Amino acid sequence: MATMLAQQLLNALSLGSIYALFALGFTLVFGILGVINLSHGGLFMLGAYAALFFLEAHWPAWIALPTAILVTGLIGLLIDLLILKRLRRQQAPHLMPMIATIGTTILMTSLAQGLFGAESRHFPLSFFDNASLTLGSLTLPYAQVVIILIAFGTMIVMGWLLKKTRLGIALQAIAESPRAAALLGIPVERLFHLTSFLAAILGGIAGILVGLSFNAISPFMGQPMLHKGIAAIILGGLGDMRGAVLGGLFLGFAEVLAVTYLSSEYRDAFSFGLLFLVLLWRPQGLFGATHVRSA
Amino acid sequence: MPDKTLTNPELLGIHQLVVQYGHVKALRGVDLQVRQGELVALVGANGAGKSSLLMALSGLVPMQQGQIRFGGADITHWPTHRRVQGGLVQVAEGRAILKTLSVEDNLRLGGYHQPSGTDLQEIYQRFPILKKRSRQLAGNLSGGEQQQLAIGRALLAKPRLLMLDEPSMGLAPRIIQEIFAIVHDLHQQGMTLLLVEQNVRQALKLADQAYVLETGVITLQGAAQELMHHPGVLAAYLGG
Repeated sequence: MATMLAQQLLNALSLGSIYALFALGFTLVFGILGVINLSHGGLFMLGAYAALFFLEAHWPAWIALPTAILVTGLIGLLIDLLILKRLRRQQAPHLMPMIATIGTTILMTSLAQGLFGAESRHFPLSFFDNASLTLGSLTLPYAQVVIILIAFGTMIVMGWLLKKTRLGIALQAIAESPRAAALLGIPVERLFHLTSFLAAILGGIAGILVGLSFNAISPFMGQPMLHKGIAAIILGGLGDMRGAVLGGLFLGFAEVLAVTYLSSEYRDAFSFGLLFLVLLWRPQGLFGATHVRSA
Repeated sequence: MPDKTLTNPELLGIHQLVVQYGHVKALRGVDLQVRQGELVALVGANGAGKSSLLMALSGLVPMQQGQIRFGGADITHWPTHRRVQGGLVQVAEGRAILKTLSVEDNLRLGGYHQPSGTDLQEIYQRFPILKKRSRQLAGNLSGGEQQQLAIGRALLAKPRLLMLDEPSMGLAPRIIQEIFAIVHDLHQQGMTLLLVEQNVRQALKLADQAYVLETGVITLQGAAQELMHHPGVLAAYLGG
């Protein structure tokens, strides 16, 4: 019984850490650019398919996966340069970037479907198959251990970058007021590009980790992930990095517990129900401040 | 007192600047010059376009017409951060303190393009209160302390021209005197300043040259001492 619980908690941790990673990228763009980038789900899917593409070209995993992540980052940057930048320049209302990024998601989904087919695929990686560590009565599949290490490792690096470096403090300044930041000589527009790039990288890593975790990817995997990402960042408090991570972990744990103790059909109902209850108690989310962004 | 800076070379030259928001013209062909080492005051009523002028100088509002020269270069089309890096630094109206960051982080961002620890110590010497509060959130400082932080932060950007937008706004009279004393000191130390103020008497007292801006047009300009006794200025801004 205790072993089963431990195993489930491990599952929850790996699922939650992927959600957290996805949500972190999503909230980064919201916090710094002030837009909801709905192509984040598309970038997540793209990361997985880019990995599939390079792996099927028989690149070794240690080259294929980082290349796929980089490609995803560059596509995120491209979306910023071609679409979000123009909308910023025209001071377009908030709905515009949302609609535009729905468009880019549809484009990416269709491309993946056209190039790779609509059915789900899996990475041609064998070294994860069934290999596992055994700790007493606990079995730790390698894939799960690697996922947890990569997800938390990435989040720790991002946390350090945002909180401890000059660049990170400049990004925090932009999050509070792009205008005040510009008056300090911070190249705001360039850091917007960098943020889009970093966020897409986080989305791409999450996509690859999901591919490793479930051994299945599909052109439509971005949409449900996007819903969970939105739930996680609302739960954590919009624009708050810690909140996004905790929101993601919360969803992971809620889902795994629902599957274990209720039934897998109720998975999403249970986790979103919990989200609803938390928001009744704290409408601003766990870490959300009621501060208003200044011009 | 004759203005000793009149023969100094031009640092900032604004030519026929027009700024328009929708159909409203905030600035209608403004010419203005700041020479090296000069303290120039720009005075005028609320809504005259003073802040619009500083925002245009920092590249934060688009200008429809005109040219800005700074240090011999045409910076009309430069982005904001490049102007700051070139030494055209503004302490904006309302101080633009980053309230969610610590005092020290605010200061460090002031020197964003040229980080240096020793400069920070100089600022702490000039404004000891900032050192005392260096780890506090900037949002928790009093108004006067925030203005010191804003000026200190701007100094770390190594300005060749420091623009101050209403530094006395919202402060108690005693604190206002402190802030004007800081401005005076900076000027004495050779800093070139463009001071926007509603506190016309104080501004004219400190300045070498002054401009009066009314509904987007420069209506008077000249030596600050002379403008202080100009009948138009006396009637409109100094209570007769």
